[in-house]
Amino acid sequence: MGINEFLKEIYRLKFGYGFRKSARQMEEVFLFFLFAEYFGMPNYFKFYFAEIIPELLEEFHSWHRRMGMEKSPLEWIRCC
Amino acid sequence: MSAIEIILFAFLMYAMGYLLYSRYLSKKVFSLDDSRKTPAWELRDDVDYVPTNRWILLGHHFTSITGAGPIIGPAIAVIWGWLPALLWVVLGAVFIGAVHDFSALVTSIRHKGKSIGTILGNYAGEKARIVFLLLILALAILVNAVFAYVIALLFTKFPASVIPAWSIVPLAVIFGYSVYRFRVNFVLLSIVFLLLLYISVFVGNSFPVYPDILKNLTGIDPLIFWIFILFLYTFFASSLPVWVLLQPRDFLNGLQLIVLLVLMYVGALVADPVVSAPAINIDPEGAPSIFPFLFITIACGALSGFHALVSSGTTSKQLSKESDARTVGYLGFLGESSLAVIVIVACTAGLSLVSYDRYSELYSSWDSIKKSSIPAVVEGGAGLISSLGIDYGLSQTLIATLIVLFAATTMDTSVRIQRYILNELGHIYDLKLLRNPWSASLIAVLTSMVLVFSKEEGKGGFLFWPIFGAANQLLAALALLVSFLYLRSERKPTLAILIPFMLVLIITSSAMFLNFLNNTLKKDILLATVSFIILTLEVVIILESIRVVKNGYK
Repeated sequence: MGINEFLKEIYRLKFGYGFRKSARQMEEVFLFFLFAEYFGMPNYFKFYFAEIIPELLEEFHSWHRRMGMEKSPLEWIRCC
Repeated sequence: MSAIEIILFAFLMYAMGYLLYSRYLSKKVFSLDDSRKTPAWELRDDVDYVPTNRWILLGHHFTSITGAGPIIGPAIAVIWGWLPALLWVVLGAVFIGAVHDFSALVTSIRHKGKSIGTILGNYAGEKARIVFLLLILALAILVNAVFAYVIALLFTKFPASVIPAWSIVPLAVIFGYSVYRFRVNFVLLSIVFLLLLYISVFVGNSFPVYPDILKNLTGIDPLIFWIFILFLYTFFASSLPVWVLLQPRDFLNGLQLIVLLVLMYVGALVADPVVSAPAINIDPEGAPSIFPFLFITIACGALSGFHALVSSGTTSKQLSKESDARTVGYLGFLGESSLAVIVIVACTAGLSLVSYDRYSELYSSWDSIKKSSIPAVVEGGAGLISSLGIDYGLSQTLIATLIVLFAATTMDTSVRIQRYILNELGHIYDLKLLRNPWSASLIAVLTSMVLVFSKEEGKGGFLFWPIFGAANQLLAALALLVSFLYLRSERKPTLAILIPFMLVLIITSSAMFLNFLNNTLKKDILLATVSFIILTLEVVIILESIRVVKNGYK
């Protein structure tokens, strides 16, 4: 690892918290819309979202774990 | 005795501590096991819990725990001679301080990366957690009172440091903005800003802001003027979002810290000055007795409870492997301790480069060190650095500026900490006044200000340092207690934690009791009251510990 990388990583680790956190919040809102049906709300964009779901599998996995559910809560997406 | 011999001794002990003792701690006491998932992996969310390379984490941890603390304590404590201070710094670090940091880190890892305060609350109940909060609050108030005085003293004694110390403010803001705004080479950017800062040191050296000018302009005593300005600055700076000023400033400080350490150590090795201070001076004029006061005067560098907050607050959530705790927790502390060692060298040997009896002039009595211990670091350190061919005056300005920068960042952080704690207490007791960030900041700044101004109009700010040390070590005692309770619940050997814990309790309680007694006899109500408060917190902690340990046995 070069010194540039090293310093950058330290800076990111030390001070990136606020940015990491707000990025995470936006992500959460997005996922909330994506899986709106799970919360009992109609999802009018399901058709359009269907395309990106495979891309989001990893993301979905860490999301349901963050929400305190060890296994996937949705029937149509099984846990890895 | 020469500087090189002192440095060799310290590093030999550090090496042995790291290679042997920390190995014993990780294998036999805490049984570190890399197959166990750390919270960073188990709870990975890439926000709080981020698995991180251990060297990056060490850099982060080291720069978070090290600041002006290990400079001020040893600078005062060498009044008892160089030997006791050196032994306490080195042996204290190896057997107590580093053990404390390491054990707080490991204990936190084994509790899903929770902070020591929360784990304490789990083991010992809500009351213990409130005592913990109050101790941190006391620490923050005391540290601000002392640091405001230290900075003001440096500004009046070394007027050349005024311009560079303030020019970091715009520099840090621009640095922080550039980091996020432009995709520039990070090393290049850091070097450019460090150079700009050093240019400001050069400018400051050519245009000192003499205290007389200030006095003529404002009509106020310069020391009081600076203390007042510093609190005003801290009040506003601590209200800014952290990424505007505090973070970039903190980062530049971290780099400066490395620069300072390298310059002073290389300077000491090149010049190899002889130690002009006596090895032991049992009874300096007007000083309190060496036991227990030496041990609380040097807190940071030998044992500091504040580190438990960093260890268990952020570092534990980022540790990638359990065995990394040895590098990050133990070695990180030795890094801080090495700063205390070079300060001892500067004050006892570096000063002999200025003149052979400079030490005895500056450390003539306990009363004189209030004004001369920090200048001793500056003069002695400048002596060391100037042996590398840097102009002596410029070296002085550089060191004075760096101490000011470290202390000012700590003031900013500790006002923020006070605000969080006051907010939390405001929620617990439902007090609107404490929940408002502005009024909380105002209360934070005012309490420190009252302390510092009530002692000989600011000139006695130093008198709070030993009390700060005691409060800091009490906090460490609480963290050690948590580790002890954890080890006992796991049926592991506890002596390595229990002995330091008892020692710290004996040192701090006897020191606070003596301080309380002496100041009551001297009718110094303020110092007596502050000592009494810390002593009361200590008694509560001891009683709570006994209760918890007893209940555990049932």
